[in-house]
Amino acid sequence: MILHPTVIANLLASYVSSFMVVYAAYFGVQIIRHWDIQSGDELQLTLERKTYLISTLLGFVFALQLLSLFLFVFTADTLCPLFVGAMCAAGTLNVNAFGYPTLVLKVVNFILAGLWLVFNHADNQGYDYPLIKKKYGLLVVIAPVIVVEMLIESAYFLDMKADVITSCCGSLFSSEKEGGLGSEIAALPAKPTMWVFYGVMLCTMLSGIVCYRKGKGGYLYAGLSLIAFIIALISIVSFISLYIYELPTHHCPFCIIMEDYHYIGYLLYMLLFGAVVSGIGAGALMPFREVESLKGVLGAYISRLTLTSVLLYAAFTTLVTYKILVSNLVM
Amino acid sequence: MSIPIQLQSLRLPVLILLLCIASASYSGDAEVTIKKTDRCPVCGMFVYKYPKWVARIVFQSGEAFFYDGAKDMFKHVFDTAKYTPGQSAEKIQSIYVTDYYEVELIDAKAAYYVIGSDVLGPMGHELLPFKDQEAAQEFLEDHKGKTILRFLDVTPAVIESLDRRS
Repeated sequence: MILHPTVIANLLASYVSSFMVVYAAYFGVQIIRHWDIQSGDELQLTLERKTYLISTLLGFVFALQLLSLFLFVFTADTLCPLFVGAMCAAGTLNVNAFGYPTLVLKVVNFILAGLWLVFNHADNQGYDYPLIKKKYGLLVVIAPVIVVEMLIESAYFLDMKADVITSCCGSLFSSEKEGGLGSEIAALPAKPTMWVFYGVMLCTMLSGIVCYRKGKGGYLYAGLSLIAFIIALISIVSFISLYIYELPTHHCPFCIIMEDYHYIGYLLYMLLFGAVVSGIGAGALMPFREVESLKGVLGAYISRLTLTSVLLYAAFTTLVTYKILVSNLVM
Repeated sequence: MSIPIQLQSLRLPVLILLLCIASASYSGDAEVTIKKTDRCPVCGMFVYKYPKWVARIVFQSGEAFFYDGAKDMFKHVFDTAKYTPGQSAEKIQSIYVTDYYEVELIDAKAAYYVIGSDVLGPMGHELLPFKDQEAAQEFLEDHKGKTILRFLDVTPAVIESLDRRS
């Protein structure tokens, strides 16, 4: 293990999150089994009182979970000078078998945690805890994933050895190397991928605007925003990175978070993750529009989420287009 | 009264000092400066972070590139059009590598390269360049090197074997 402050911060954040989420999930199971708003018995009153505390704490825990994705990538980037061959987070994540699985789980948990926060906010709008069972049901699904993430993240940091020669992102995301998802995406032809990217972004934003204006097509928008998110991640590796680095062969999705590129990667990823969470969140709330206590407010909240998502995707696309236009790379 | 005399006596040492500073700052490669924006065209690394490993290729057009090690420089020589579309190996005017002991740019075609040693570069296993054979031999013995190669002995297979060891 490498005793770096960022490593300790990551592990602490992970242990705190896991502990809190497991405790809250235990409470969630009780809610799912015994919650009855009509009842006035002691257990129900205890559950009603406790849910405020648990929801508030979980709000902070999931906010920490959202931040932990960026902290994790920042840590991997910070540690890269310790490993021969690593020039950015890509190399650090490759020092053992647990780096990339941790990153994937962090991305999944980012979206799940974001969705839980959306549900929690919607639930708090109604006077009779309208989404409480759904909210804690989601928590029971998220808790094991967060625990698995904690275990794999611990294995990653505890198994980190400084004398390992790792691979540089130049070879991990090389269009010529055979095998590996990074290389396969890097090998995608840049121009067609660019057309797909702009096509999908345009469709997503148009569908979002229709959904915002008419209050219809929320499911379609949620689906499209997930597709747009995946296409955007592929596009970063396939062609966006090339224009930012101004190198025809460098496809790394991690070097863009470095100081040398003015941390533009953090901005791009924040826009993207914010967009997908609010987009899917809007779709996930659609079935509950007719719930009696949410009738007046949920529609407006879904519209706000949709608009937020559309604006974030628009900001992402604008930033990418700007970087392509000012880039010295000609393809 | 004594101050002017003291200043006068300092004139010669100051002059010598200034001459020393002036001569030290002048060298044959004085015009080669690595900017913070210079990146290796092969792997994308910022070269200023690894000044001891820098290699350089200058094309006939005046276009010049830095590398964070001789290995990436050779990769560029072997596949010039891939990393710099529009350029070819025939258009290369001069190639430099950094002597591992002297830490100065030397002609890559005249250098001696040690491979298989226990010294790792920013990109893992490297070719360690030296301007003379004695230095290369000494390094090879001190650092468990395997072979000394000349510029023309380095083939894509040699580079691939270095990458495979990483």
